[in-house]
Amino acid sequence: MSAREGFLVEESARFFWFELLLLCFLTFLIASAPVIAGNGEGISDTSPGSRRIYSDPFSDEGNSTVARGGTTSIYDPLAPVNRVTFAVNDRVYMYVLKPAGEGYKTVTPRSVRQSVSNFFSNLTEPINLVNSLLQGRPSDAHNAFGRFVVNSTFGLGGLFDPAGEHLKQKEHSFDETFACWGISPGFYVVWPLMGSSSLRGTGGLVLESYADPLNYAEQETVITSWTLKTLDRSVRYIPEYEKMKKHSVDPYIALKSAYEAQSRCGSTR
Amino acid sequence: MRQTVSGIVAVILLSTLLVPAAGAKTPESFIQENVDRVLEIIDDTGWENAERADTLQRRLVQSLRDVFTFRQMTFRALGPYARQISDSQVKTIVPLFTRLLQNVYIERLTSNLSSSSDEYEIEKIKVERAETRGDGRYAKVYTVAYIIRGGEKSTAQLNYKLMQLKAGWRVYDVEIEDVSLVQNYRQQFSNILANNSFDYLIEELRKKLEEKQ
Repeated sequence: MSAREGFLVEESARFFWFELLLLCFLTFLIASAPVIAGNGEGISDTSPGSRRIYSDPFSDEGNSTVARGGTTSIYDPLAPVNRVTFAVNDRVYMYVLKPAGEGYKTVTPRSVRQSVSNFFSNLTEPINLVNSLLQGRPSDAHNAFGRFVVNSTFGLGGLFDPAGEHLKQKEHSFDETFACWGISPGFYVVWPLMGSSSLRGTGGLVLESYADPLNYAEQETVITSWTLKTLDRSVRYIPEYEKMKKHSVDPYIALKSAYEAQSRCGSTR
Repeated sequence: MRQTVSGIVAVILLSTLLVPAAGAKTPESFIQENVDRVLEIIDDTGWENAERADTLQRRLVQSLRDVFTFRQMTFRALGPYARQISDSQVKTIVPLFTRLLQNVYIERLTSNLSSSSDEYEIEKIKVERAETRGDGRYAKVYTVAYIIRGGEKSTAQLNYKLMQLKAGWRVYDVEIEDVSLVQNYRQQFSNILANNSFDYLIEELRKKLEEKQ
């Protein structure tokens, strides 16, 4: 072997060991990446401030808004008035509807209350059907149609829910339909007694009131059904409302945020 | 020779990347195992015995710590403010918000997941499907809670958002009937911090926790 050949072999061996060391170092670096880059809880990010990750790839607000720091929130120019209505509603819920609901619960057997609830729920199925169609959800429309037919006949006018075993109710409101059509909610509004809504949601409520057959009955029937429906809703929703208040630092915003989430297109209620 | 060694090193390199992934739990199995464990604790018959109830409460809180990343939940609830506060302020708010979230979650599971005041029992929580994003580092697991309320069966949608941490998958948000817990708090915090100091928020959180007790 000539001196030049010897030099080349030596260089080659040196390069080989250098490459081996480099690969080992890379291996170590990649394997320990979460430990080095993370913060102990860590998805990689080395700058101290950015350890406080708050982006959410699943948020409907999109990475964009949340990551950039804003919170997409429904416009609320009536906030001062809304907060007053919210406070008044709160008193009415706590001091009128809650005791009334508890009285109703005491004097009415559970099975009767369940039938009342089923009856009003069944009357919303045509609305669910129409909105499912308007939102392009044939499967949900089929579901609403099936539930309405089965419960109205075998369920004795909706007093029982025999369809519920196989077909779970899927609620779809006009508010949600308008959202699916890309119509903005406009602004947030808190209505006396009815609570959270928006300009878009109010339009939906007006349409839904036209679709409610009980509104076309005689005045006495309308008053009776309204009273029963209010009692039914008080029993069902006031405990939930109380829990929400208990765990919120700002119940007004908490309720507004929940309204936004549930009136979004694709809401799974 | 060089090619052989390079090949071996490359295999080692790949193995270090692939082996933990193969051995790790999927987001679906992580959620299913943990919700089963939490429901098992909730279903324990010992809650009426004060001494046993203390043990169960501790087990429940520990189980939640194994499932949730309360630190990341706090940052997400704070949104952009998470990067504006000092380390000592982080140390103050994380434990407070952790306690509040634990209270919310436990109460949701134990007393009222759906919208009825009637007593009910969660029969089971079943994972339906999952989707991943961010190169598989984030996952959303869709589950259905089966509830028996006054003899009637009903269901509620309960979705978990997870992120891959050093310790494995951890939940950073829960959606109950489409309402995101973290997003709900983010809007509350954001509204408070827009007009008040961080100390005011801390004070409000303390008041809320005292109310609970």
